[in-house]
Amino acid sequence: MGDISEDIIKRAAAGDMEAFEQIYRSFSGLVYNAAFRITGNREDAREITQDVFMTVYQKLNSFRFQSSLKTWIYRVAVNLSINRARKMSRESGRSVKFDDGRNYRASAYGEQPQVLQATQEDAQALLKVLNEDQRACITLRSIQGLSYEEITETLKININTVRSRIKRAREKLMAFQKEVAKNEL
Amino acid sequence: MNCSQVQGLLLTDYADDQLTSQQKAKLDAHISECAQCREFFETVRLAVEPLKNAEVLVPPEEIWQNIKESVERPGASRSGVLSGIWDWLESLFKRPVPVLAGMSFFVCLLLATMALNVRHHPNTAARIAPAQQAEYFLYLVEETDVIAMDNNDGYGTVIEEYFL
Repeated sequence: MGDISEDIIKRAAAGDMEAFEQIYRSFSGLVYNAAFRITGNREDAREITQDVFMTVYQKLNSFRFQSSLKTWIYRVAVNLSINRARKMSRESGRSVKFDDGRNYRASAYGEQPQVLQATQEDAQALLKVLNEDQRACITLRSIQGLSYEEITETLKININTVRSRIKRAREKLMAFQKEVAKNEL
Repeated sequence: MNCSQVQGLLLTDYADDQLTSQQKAKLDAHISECAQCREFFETVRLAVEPLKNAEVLVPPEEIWQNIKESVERPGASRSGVLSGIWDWLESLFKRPVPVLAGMSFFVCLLLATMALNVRHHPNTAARIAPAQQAEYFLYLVEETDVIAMDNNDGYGTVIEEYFL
């Protein structure tokens, strides 16, 4: 998805609702999906998406074009999502509640490894295993396809931290899949 | 490059296509010769692919309707003087940690200095000469007794009077 033109950003900052809607239509999918994957449920994803675009509307005046609008919006979305997931985790004293995340089946992949179409349940069950930071990195990389460079810009972390979070996340996923496969036997 | 290093890259840069063609060719050569790393990459693939193919959700339309309503509501957007004050307050707390620590230290120092000044300010007892202090103390005791006799429900102390 391409970035949005400077003219549209300026018009939206000046209060032009049509321009602002264009920004919303371009990025709401990314924001909603990132929030859904990080927090684990649709209700929070809805609220976060709304909060993100209200923040964008209010702060567009101070946007200095130092990074792309997409990176800026992503950063707001991921930070809000991580904070929400951490808060839920602290309040409940356990991992966050995930929609659709109960029935991961290792056999679905073991039998036909060449056909790797994930169901909603599989993706959610896998993400549930990870902590918030790992989930954010894996979401941005594996689900939303950002490069390591783009993730460093979005999360404002070192590229080696990105690498190490992704590595640990995948090690955890592999251990989880191994455990599930063992229990299925 | 040993197997442990190769497997580290298989989990990250290789699985995510972040390597140059030269680096990738080097790893491919290792994988084709090493059964252990080949098997390892198969398990990596099983952990990576389900998420790559995860379903993309469409945000419900009600989100935009809510945003639009909030934005178009009168007084919803911050502007003018209030916005300026708000931005200034926000920028005050958005400074790097050492700057915030310095500012906090300065405020604490200021408060401590003010507290010390208040303490050292000459009070009534300090202004009375030592010879007169006993007399002044007796006067206070007598006064307290009178108050105590007048009001049998309490001890007549200043603190008690203040709170009751």
